[in-house]
Amino acid sequence: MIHTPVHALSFLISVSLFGAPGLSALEISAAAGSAWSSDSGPALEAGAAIGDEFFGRVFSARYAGEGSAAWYFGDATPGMTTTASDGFYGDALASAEFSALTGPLSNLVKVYGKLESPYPASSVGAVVDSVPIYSAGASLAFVLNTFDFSVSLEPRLSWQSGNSGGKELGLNSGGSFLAGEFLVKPGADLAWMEWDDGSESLSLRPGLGFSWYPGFPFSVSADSGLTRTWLPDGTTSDELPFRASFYAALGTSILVKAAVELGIALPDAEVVSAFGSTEVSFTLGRFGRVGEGDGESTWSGELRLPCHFTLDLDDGWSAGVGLEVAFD
Amino acid sequence: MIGIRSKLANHASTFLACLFVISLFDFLFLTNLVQAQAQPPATGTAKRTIAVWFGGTEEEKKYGSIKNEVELLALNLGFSGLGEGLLVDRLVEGSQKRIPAEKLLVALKDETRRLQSIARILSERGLFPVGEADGLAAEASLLLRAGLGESEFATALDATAELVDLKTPLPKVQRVLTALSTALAIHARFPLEVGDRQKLITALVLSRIPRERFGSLVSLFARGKASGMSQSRMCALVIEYASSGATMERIERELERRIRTP
Repeated sequence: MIHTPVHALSFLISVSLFGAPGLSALEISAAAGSAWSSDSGPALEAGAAIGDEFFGRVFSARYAGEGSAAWYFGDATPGMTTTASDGFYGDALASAEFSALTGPLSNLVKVYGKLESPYPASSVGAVVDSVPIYSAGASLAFVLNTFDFSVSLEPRLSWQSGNSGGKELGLNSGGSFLAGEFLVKPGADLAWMEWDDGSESLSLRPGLGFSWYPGFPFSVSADSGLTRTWLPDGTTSDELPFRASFYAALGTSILVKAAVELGIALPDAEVVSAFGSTEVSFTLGRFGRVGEGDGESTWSGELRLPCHFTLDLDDGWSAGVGLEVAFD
Repeated sequence: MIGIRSKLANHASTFLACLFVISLFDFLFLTNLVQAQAQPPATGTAKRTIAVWFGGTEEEKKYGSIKNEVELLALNLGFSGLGEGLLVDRLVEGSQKRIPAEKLLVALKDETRRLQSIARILSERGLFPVGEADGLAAEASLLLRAGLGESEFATALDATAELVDLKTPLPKVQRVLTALSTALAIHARFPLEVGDRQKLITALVLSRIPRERFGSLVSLFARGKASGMSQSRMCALVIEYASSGATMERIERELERRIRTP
């Protein structure tokens, strides 16, 4: 927790909205690094994020904002249909959540907005389709928690601009219960989508997921389900998506995250999308100041060296390394 | 397309296999606290007396010089309500490690002082489980040797006054010890501020989470940290939701919600 003007402002907002908060957790991070991808060549990347969360007696609030930018030096830049000798790409995301906890039932309202804006470099290259993409959404969750299981119902509404833009109205229902060291999560998702070109679709996805928390710093999660999509002309398509992720802390300074996503079209069992990513982050140092008593300034930080590698069926591979500093 | 697919499968399988081996090594050799919690000190020698142990052949020769002082330590331990088997366990451990007699005696004196403090702290709170205290004292001593402060132990025990569902001292102290070892295991990987650690321990003790599930929080912290959350934020999250009666499912759900971006 940081005691700075930013934190003080956050604290005031929280107090004015929700009364005296019980706990708050502010995080600020900044990162810079280099990356190389088979699709767009070498690039320099930079980003920053801020997030804060307040826990009150009944209400809690969380907000987050982040932005990133990349300079590509290769022959192509993502999101652009013609070749540019180099280019700038940036995005920004803002989100806010408000939740109320009343006994075993909790309600959650979440709103978010996102801006992805590819821009050409000021004087180099002719670029078209560099229109920013906006997206926004809101959801309302009703969660019932009992000692043995948890169930939720979450309607959502989202919108996205751009060539593949449209509106989505969805309803997600799910549950979770413990089975030994496994957390089993059955669920179903219903979504109606209307794209800006006038086409529509309705999809239903019953699925099953699990997470394994074995009691040492290692965790695995996976989920799958059958997605059936109905189009207005009466045709249907079936897809079997599969996701798995793996997390581990090795020793005191190495964090590992790996994920695999597959999309398998049925009935031919053809792999239509595949994505794999790994990130290994080395903690280079920890620093901070611990106050002597309650209310005294306390903050801590970490300097990390994240390295990532991704493989995508459509976009090829990319790899990167950078430095990240985070305060909390 | 097929080439990329094949590469993806090869790289992913090789990487996951390497990570699995490294994680297994890490688990087996580096996660001492979790192992200690899962496997409390050997109790096979708990009923052996010091006289019997020193009456053995090899031990008598190597450690006979400290026999009288060890018997005196055992007498002091008995005044605290603890059995001499606790010292026999340490004697066995020391002799197996071929520790010289003088050094072993120093270690036994330290252990006796620790065990007496533990017994005093438990007795002062009416939590001394008569007849069942040796195992708990050994476990608590292990935690103190791993870096737990006596004041942290005492504060965590104070929280048990609110555990009205547990009628006898044994399950209360067991819950506290599991919460302490979980917090220490998390702290060993993801350093926590002293105040946060204490709040986490108290929140776990008073939570609705069964103590057998506490260990899963170590995995949960690893997941949150690998996904970019700070340990202080993870800690605040667990404290808040555990204190408000949340189960492990609820805490996991809240974590997932924070990791996922829109």
